[in-house]
Amino acid sequence: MRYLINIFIFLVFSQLLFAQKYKQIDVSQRKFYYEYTFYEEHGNPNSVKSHQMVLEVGSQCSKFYSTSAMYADSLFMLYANEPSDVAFSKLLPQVSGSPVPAYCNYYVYKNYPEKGTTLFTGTDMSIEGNFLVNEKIKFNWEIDDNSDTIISGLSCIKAKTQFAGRNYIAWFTLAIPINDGPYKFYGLPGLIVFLHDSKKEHVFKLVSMKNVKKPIYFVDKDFITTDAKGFVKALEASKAELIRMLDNVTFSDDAMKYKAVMRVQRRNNFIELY
Amino acid sequence: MDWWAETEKPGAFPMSRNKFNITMKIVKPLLLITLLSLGLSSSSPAVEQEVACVKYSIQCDAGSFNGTICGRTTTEIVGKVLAIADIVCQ
Repeated sequence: MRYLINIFIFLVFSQLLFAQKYKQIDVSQRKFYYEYTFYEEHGNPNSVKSHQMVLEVGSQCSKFYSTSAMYADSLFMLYANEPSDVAFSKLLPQVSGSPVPAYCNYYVYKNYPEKGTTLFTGTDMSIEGNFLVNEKIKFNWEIDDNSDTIISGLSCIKAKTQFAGRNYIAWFTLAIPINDGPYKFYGLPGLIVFLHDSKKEHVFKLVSMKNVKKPIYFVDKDFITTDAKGFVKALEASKAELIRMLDNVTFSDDAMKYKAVMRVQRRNNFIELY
Repeated sequence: MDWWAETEKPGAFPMSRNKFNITMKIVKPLLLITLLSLGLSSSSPAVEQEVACVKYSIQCDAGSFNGTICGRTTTEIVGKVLAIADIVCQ
């Protein structure tokens, strides 16, 4: 759901700092935009959400993250040197129109900081913890040369793999000879155009692309280093903190709080299962 | 279909500024966030950055609610406000 807004700040502050620093790690050659559709609750089609993600591909590495985060990061950089009250009043009206869903609050860097490494940074649901996962992921793709189709005007070939507790089907195109794809997926002889798990609870579809040369930034925060399983545990644990935050909210209707708490508790369908 | 050429047209990017502004116009009535006041509430000697708390009030289709959000950074406070709005207003 998109929403927003008018914001009025009656008292302002000058003490706060921006949490993150931006370090240029490459220059993008192309940007690929994916529509990511997912169930927040396992097996519940009524919990479906969608969000646009972007894959920035440079000469050395790539970065996959939310387009809302991309937009917010550009504003954070733009206002970084402004007084925080000014920055705050300019930022919130612009970024709150399209918040990053809890399931999309991450960055995936491939071949960074070194070739063959996938660096994942993610924030938990309560926005209290920032986590860093450094992995060397090897996908065992099974390519079906006899199965092809046209997706978004591109001739695609089917491939299968398993990852983090799910079976995936990917459709890649040799027309874009880039060994990359959405989320942590890579390793096929062409760009992944369409990817979904066998239950279609997590679906990525390429919707557009741009040739654009812009810096690719690593977004640095005060990270807690963990592994992929640890991040999923942190996500699950942060539900309690998010509910505790709701305890400090005064609602016009008690049913609002009940529904909100139920929505948090039903978030049990993270893309990685452990 | 020349899919490549199509997506290279200016404005093809769905999150282009024009489309974003249009979206904002459409959804503007749905929610009103008002930051009412702010004060430093506490600080820890172990943490260099002070904690600030922001009182806010939000209205959306589901109803209205208000509270106080604390954080050490602008991005943390913005993130928390949006996380609550996202879960309550969906």
